[in-house]
Amino acid sequence: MHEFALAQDIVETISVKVTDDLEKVSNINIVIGEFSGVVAESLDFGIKAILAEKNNPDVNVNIEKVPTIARCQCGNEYQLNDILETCQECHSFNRKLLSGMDVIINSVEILE
Amino acid sequence: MKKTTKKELNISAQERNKLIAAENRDLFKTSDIFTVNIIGSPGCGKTSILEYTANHFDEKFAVIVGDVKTALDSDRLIQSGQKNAYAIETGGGCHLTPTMIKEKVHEIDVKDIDYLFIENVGNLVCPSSFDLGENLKIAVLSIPEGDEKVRKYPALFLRAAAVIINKIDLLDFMDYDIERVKADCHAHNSNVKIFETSAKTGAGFDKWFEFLKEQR
Repeated sequence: MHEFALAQDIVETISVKVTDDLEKVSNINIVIGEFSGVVAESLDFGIKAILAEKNNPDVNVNIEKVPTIARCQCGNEYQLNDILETCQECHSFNRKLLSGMDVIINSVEILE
Repeated sequence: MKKTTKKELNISAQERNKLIAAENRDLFKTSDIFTVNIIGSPGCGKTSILEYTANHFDEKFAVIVGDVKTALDSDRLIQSGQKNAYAIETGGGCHLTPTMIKEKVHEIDVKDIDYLFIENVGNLVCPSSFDLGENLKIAVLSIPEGDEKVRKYPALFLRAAAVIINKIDLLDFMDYDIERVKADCHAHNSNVKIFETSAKTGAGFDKWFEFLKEQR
């Protein structure tokens, strides 16, 4: 259940980078990589629970999941749906993951 | 409808942790300390590996051990001869954070050590998501756990630079397909180094120590 720790970090980052008046935060837009190991529903719950404590029970948390893109040693870039999938071109596991591992705070909307 | 303004951030959700991890990394680098974050299930032998290391690795090191409760593991290490062992009780937390490491490192004489081993809370999920400022993340598996752990907990094995398969002395007594486990490790990270050890017999530790010295 590391999603709650992550939710605390997200709220802390917003208070430093966007506004310390957390009651004004209306939308938080987050992108989660498919292979990040983070459960979207738990993260959503954690952020809303923390902001409710800050007198903001109405915040919207929008979470978009992005696929994992791999670049194979042969140069082929492909969407990796399962880790045990090999490259369709050369059937190798020797690849670098270009996306899909991170959790990104894309943008935050605040009431004027 | 109320008017809103949008601020684009496009930053990691772990921004705050990453900053503290970077501070830890700077401290380790300026102190010339090579740091290893050891992650594995409860009971896979993380502390036993460090006990064996304490008695056979000819380099100076310290150990920070994270557990939900108690200092049992750091006490074990102190009793086995590793005086530089420090406990972090998370009090319920399922992983160590860079802030916990930053605070604990102040108790260690960093000028006196070449390596720092951080034994994370026994857990294959949460610890893999947190950068502590280490040089390497290492995953520990053990034979009695079963041979499907790599497939079941991909986030750790995507990030681990090396995997130790411990309790290798039990291989003849268990249905454990070690070749499949190794293939699964390579599927997650084609550059991963794999070590087969037994903290009971000492098997495989020479290669593990050699790897640590090469990496430093």
